[in-house]
Amino acid sequence: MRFATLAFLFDEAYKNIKRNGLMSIAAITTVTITMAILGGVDYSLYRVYQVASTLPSKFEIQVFLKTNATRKQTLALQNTIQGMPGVKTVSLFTKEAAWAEMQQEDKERRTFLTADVPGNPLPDRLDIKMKRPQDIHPMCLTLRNSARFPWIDTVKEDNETLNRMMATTRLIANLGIVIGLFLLVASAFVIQNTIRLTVYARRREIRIMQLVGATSRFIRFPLILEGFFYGCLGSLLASGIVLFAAEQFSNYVRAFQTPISEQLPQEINPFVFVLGMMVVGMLIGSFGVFLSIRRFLKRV
Amino acid sequence: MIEPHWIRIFRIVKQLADRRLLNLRMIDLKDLSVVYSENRSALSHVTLHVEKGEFVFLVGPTGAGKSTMLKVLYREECDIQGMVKVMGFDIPSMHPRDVPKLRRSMGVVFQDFGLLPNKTVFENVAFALRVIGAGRREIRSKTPEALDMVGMTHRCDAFPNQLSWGEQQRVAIARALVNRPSLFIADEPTGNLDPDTSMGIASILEDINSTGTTVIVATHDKHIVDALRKRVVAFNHGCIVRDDPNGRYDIEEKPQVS
Ligand SMILES: Nc1ncnc2c1ncn2[C@@H]1O[C@H](COP(=O)(O)OP(=O)(O)OP(=O)(O)O)[C@@H](O)[C@H]1O
Ligand SMILES: [Mg+2]
Repeated sequence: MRFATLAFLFDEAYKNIKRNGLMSIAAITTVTITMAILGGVDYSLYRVYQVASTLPSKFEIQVFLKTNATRKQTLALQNTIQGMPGVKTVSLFTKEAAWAEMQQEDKERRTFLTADVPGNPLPDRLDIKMKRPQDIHPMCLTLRNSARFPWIDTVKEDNETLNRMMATTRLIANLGIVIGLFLLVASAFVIQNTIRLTVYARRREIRIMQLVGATSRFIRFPLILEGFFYGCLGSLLASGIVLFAAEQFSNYVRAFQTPISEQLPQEINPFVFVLGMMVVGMLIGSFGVFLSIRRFLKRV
Repeated sequence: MIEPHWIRIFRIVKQLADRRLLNLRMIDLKDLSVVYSENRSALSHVTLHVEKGEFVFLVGPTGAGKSTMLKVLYREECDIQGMVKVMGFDIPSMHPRDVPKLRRSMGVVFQDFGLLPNKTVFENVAFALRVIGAGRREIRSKTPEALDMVGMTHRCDAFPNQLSWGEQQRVAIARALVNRPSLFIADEPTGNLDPDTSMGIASILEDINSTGTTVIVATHDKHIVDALRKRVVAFNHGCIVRDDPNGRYDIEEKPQVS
């Protein structure tokens, strides 16, 4: 294609946008609103997923040693476990501390269960935190190998809570994907419909172009540029709205100083977010035009 | 279905040979029928030949099939039976991809599609050049030339809605001319115009013809047909009922006393 022709086609797209002021505003508004909803929901879902996936690491594996294990053996075991892959922390809860706690509780509740017991019947306990929740179960299986860890009596895995958390995390992640995809399709549909209106308003022009011998490519090019522009500008505005709202919400949550607000994982990189939104918007915009004019171009 | 390249190349070569070497007719129709519904046909079994450089009027009452006939020539109407060759292009077997090529080698003034409303007169005429990928210099030289031929140079910055219908028709003629086509087709170019303006347009058509361009005009305008005394092909109910080399609008052969 010649440069003069290419320049003409760009100029055509620019003039079309300028001339159909109201239509352009309608298209951009539609893209902005749908993309803001799409981006906002996906953004929040991702944040929730991020938070949820950090929570399970709080849950521990409790390892009870045999009562006749010496402190030295306990500490050696603590060191061994600390060196195993995937382990975050291993803390020792000594039998003395456990006994004291139990006696204290007894006193408060006035149950006197510990009064007649001679000496300390409780074992040492190791509390293990894993880096990733899915490693908890395999870790327990390893620790239950009595040949390798002869001083371990029982291994307790916080099964119920753990499974619930895992399930929630998985659910949120899957729901996020489903809702995200659904919204993407819905936005594409709404945007495509608006663009179809702008193309329909120009079907007479398209017809005249065809009748004087314009190729489909020649007719399509400025229109696709136009859809590209709508998608681009709309998503840019939408990502601005979403990022602003997210920032406000983060500030609001942080003001409470809850354990969760301190634990909030790193923010989503705004550049990546804007870029992603623009790419999706541009694709929907230009592809929307492509689909809309196919019908008009078919009639040669 | 994508046809293999070699078949396309073969066809293009054949078309070129048909047009250049064999020096075929401008328009060659044999047994052409256009059927809209089972019992109604817009054209039935039409046979017509037009040589290069001819000037032909298509006349006939409303609904006779004149516009349909022209639409077949620029392949807007493609549901056709019979043989149609225009400048060597075989219309019935034509691939939709090749239609722009056909339309670029002819100039058409349409009955129901006028100018692009949001372009100036100059841009409208230049558009036909843009479409074929013409450069800036070509557009600057050819567009004023075409506008000059129809006498619209002074209104080149006006928009179509600022022009009278007659002026719009002139611009449409300029747009059809600007590519220097070898076939010029006009559907009712003088519809709704006063006799003087009609005669002005008729003389433009004559000028176009005098440069060697084949001209085909469908019209109801008795006035211009009788004035130019060119070949007249009369249609009725989709059939050719008369083909007169130096005809008048009406069937009466006796010269009317004036
Ligand atoms: N798309 C269509 N579908 C069905 N019938 C059609 C269609 N287009 C034209 N016709 C019919 O074909 C016949 C010929 O129409 P055409 O437009 O060729 O007439 P015409 O001679 O140009 O008339 P006019 O002088 O009024 O322009 C008419 O009876 C018309 O009703
Ligand atoms: Mg007609």
